Amino acid sequence: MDRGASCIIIDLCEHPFTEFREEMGDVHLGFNLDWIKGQAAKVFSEVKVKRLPGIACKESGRAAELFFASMKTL
Amino acid sequence: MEKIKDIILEIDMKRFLKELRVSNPETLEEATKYFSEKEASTRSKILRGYFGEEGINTIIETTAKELTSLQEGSNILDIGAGTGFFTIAIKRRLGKELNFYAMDVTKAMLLAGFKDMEKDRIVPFLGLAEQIKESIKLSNLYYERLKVRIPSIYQGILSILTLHHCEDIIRYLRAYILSWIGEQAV
Repeated sequence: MDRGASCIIIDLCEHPFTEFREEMGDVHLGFNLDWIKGQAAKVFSEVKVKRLPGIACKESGRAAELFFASMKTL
Repeated sequence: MEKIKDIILEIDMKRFLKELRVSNPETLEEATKYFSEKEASTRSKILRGYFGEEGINTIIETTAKELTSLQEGSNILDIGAGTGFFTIAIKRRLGKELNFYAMDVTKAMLLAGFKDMEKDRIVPFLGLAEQIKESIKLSNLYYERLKVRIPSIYQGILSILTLHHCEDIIRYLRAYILSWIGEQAV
């Protein structure tokens, strides 16, 4: 990958719905944004993480927000 | 004429995972059953149900915006692409001659989306998010007789709604960077 190009992650923000493990085969109940930023910073030199406004994963009245992470190594 | 689909179909997953040297092939194969049995054939409907059209468009637009500066001919890898739902939409949205590769560990997902991916000239292959370069190397061995080669270097790597299914996040992120640093990959 060219230096400066992007690695992108879109995934769920931390949520309390433990039943997603059984219902949807999830391993993690979403992610804390600061934690993701910290983990990504161990590998990439430039990390941007933000909540995606106005969008959520909705299932049977439950809603988990999404985040967007962009990572680069300059 | 033999196609990638035929090769994916004939791959024995137990053997594939052993060849990848995953520590828990049985557990992993069991985990993919959920997607094989419950999601593969109806993935698009499920995603639309989760996010609605507006949410789906937000995901596509946000990702496309980040990749918009890529030059034609660039390689883009979608990790955990499933049926290629987002891969196809993002490729179409970008509207450039970009080379997209769709990796997933669930055979049924890749096969369910194969026809659509083929139309959009997206190359699907089996692989594990935590072991990207090993997956590419192994899939290239399987694809050798088709003379299809999955590249080892990418200008863009995507992971949409895959991370929360992965056991080892740091290994996952390190696998990203190993695909990024070409000389260390494959």
